[in-house]
Amino acid sequence: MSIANLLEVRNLRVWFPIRRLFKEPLFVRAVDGVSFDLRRGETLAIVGESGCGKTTLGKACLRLVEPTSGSILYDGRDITSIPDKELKWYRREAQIIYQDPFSSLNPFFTVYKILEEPLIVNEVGDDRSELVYKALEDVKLTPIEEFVGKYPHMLSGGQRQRVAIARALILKPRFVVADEPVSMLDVSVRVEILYLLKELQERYGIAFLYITHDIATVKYFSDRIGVMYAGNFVESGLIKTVVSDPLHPYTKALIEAIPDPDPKNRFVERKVVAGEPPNPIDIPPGCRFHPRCPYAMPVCREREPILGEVEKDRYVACWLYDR
Amino acid sequence: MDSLLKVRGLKLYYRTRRGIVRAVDGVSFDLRRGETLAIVGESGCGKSSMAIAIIRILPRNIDTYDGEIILDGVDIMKIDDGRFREEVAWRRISMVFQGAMNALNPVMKVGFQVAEPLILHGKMDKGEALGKARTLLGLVGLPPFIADRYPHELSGGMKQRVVIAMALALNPEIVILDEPTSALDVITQANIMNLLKKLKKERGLSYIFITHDLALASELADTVAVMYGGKIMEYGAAEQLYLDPKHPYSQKLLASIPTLRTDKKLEFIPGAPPDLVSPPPGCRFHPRCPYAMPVCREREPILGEVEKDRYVACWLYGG
Repeated sequence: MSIANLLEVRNLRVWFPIRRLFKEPLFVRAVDGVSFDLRRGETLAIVGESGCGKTTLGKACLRLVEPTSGSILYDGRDITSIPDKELKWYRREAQIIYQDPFSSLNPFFTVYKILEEPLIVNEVGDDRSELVYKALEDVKLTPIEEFVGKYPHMLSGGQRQRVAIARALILKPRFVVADEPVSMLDVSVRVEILYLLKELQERYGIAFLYITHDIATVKYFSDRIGVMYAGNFVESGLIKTVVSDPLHPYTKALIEAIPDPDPKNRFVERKVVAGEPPNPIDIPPGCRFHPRCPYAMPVCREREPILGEVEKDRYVACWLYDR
Repeated sequence: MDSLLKVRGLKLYYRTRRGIVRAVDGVSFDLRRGETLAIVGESGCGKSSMAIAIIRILPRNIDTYDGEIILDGVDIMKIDDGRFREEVAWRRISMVFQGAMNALNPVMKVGFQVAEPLILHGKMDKGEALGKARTLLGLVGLPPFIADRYPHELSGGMKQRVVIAMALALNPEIVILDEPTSALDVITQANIMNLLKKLKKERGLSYIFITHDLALASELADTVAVMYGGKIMEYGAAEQLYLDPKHPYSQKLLASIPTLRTDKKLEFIPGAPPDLVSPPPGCRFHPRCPYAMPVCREREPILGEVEKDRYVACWLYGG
């Protein structure tokens, strides 16, 4: 394991069984052979359409869903299959921010109680109120006295997401999964929350796994990107190179589909790939994208391409780039 | 080009326990034939309320519903509910609701659901209506056998096409699109936008396109109205608004949108949108505006013409 890496995921599979009477079970292959590294203090964006397995991947990295096979190394320790009871240290190290701040906060708890709870559970801190106040200050919910007694319904979406961020960061984790942290918020507030996450990342050296469908925000708030399709990565690399020069046909299609604000858009039709993502129970053989790919060749139907390094720090799983 | 729809001083207030919510507070705009007007704004700015005010699908707690909506020279605010339903709703103005694809009846075949408005409003018999439904599904790019499918057998994008087919059933001139692609993936969204562009060109439809997404709005908009706190802050041609926004709110909103193909410094707007029960006095944007002057706190600017066909409600431009 490289010392720069906080998290190393190798060949991770998360399959959910569908049991059938008198028949072999089927498997939903939500995550199907994913490998990646997350470096200390960086942001790696996992991008893909709904159903591509990005949320399941994030949860598997936190052991919130059980991996079927593969390995997850955190800071050199294999956490793939150690029992829950021995994972308590990891629960402090690794946290999650959910998409929907309207349902991720307990409506019967005050802001103070929401933030105090992880401290109680993990038996952290002699003076818990000091830590709670510090956490609220970090996420700029000031004046703090005004917010500690409030209930979630009294807060706006942006303020609630700040509480969710404070709760995730109060135990000083080094690894945070941010699952669509701003997609429920208004556009004018999104950027503010993302700047806040970036600021806290720099201050506390947190590594983020930023899970989203929105490549445009990724471009401004991530270091590297992994593009997922039907349970596996099709391309990964530095954000600037992947966005400005996508190599995989799926990444190209995804980027082409996203409009920038430009009044000329209305005069042109967007090039769109045909079809829809496959059912994760029935993933096509060969390359997962071949039924929709405009460049599909005979080999794509038969053999699955592996994620190979085509340039330094640039990985693509496509037969077009097979050396 | 003539104005197909003229809206003047439209007001829609709701009664709630907290007080009167001024969701739409004196909005005026024109929609020309074959043109798309995009209404953009953040959640709670009143954009969806304006849509239901135009097509008159109102909740029960209405306090004030006032103004003029002139369709082809006739003030449709003056006609009674029965005539409105018979002559205007769905026939001349139809709507694709936000999340409508999830409102399809799960136990009814899709073809029948598209045929239903033809039977009820179009006075067709069942066989004729089902035949027309297949034609309509073809129009939105779905194969005819989809008519015999149930909603759960279709993908999100296909369901959205069905809902668009329903809105087109009675050949309306104006279609109101309220966030027609929210909850769809980006590639599916691009597909639906292509379809809407094609329908606009082929059938000369006029759209009122309601969205929070300025980037998406540029896919259809000829004219853009930026709404904030129940009012239009800026109104003008898409070229002017996107390339040279005048109102500080439009400027800030555009600056907060991340772009893929160009680089810029992203900004955000500190603070939160106003509470429509007790909006701030003066300009509704003044508490968040970087250029706020004393007059902004006291007197409300009106939407005035600053250049030809270009309207801004801001004291920086004389109010």
